[in-house]
Amino acid sequence: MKPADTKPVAHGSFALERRFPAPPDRVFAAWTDAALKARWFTGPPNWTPIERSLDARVGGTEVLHGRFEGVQALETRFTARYHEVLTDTRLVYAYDMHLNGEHHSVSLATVEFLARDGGTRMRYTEQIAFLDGTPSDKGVSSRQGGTESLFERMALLFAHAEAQA
Amino acid sequence: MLNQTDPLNAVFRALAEPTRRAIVLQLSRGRASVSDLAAPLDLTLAAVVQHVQALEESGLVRTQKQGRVRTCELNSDALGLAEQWLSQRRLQWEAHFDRLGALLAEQDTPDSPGSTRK
Repeated sequence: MKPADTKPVAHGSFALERRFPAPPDRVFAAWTDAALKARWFTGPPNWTPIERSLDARVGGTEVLHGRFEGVQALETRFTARYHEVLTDTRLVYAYDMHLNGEHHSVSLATVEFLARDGGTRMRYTEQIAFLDGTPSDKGVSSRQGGTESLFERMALLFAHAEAQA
Repeated sequence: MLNQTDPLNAVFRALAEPTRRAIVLQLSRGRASVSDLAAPLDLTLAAVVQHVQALEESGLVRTQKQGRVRTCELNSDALGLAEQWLSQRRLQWEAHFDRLGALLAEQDTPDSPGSTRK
């Protein structure tokens, strides 16, 4: 790809926190035991798994490949590599996301398991580099759409700012 | 939960200042140099440079220096998509954790056969 055609990278991060009434060893097992993880790490009902594997050891890999059926068919492929596995305490893994075979994003995910009041406080933090910029099949129209939605959001922001003033 | 590093927060912070909103509106008509941007504003060039830097840090604006001229343009497409992707990813994980919570609750009941939820 020529440098001029390189799509812009966009960075993002978010954190989620959940409390569960189960102790950290049970929550940790739900992440690292393949059979248990398959019970919750899946897509919505219109998503069908194609391939799944999990080896949650340092250097081990995980694959979750599936397909959304329907009008807009979409194939999703999650491939991860585990970088830190601290039993009942913390997981750090990096993962690629491919959408319809295109490299969509690379993420670093950290999951922390903290014992709290007989249960677990689980903290999930993800740092992402989005790689596929403007979808090549949309080009100019998507750029326009992006600009329009930006201005819609700005209009809302200004309305809010004026209401506060 | 609000996240300090949420790019949307950075955008809102950058846009919370009237001069920066004026700069963004000016750039919506097309790319401009820093001195082009300063012309309609009653500000020193140094002050405009600072505002442009704040906008650049938020990701709203991209700049490129050629010789002595710094050209600015809106980075609206990358911003809009990043925001969509990020909220989508966040929602996916919320859904995963809903199912994880259900699984842990189910395991709590000893006589549960552990039937798969669909």
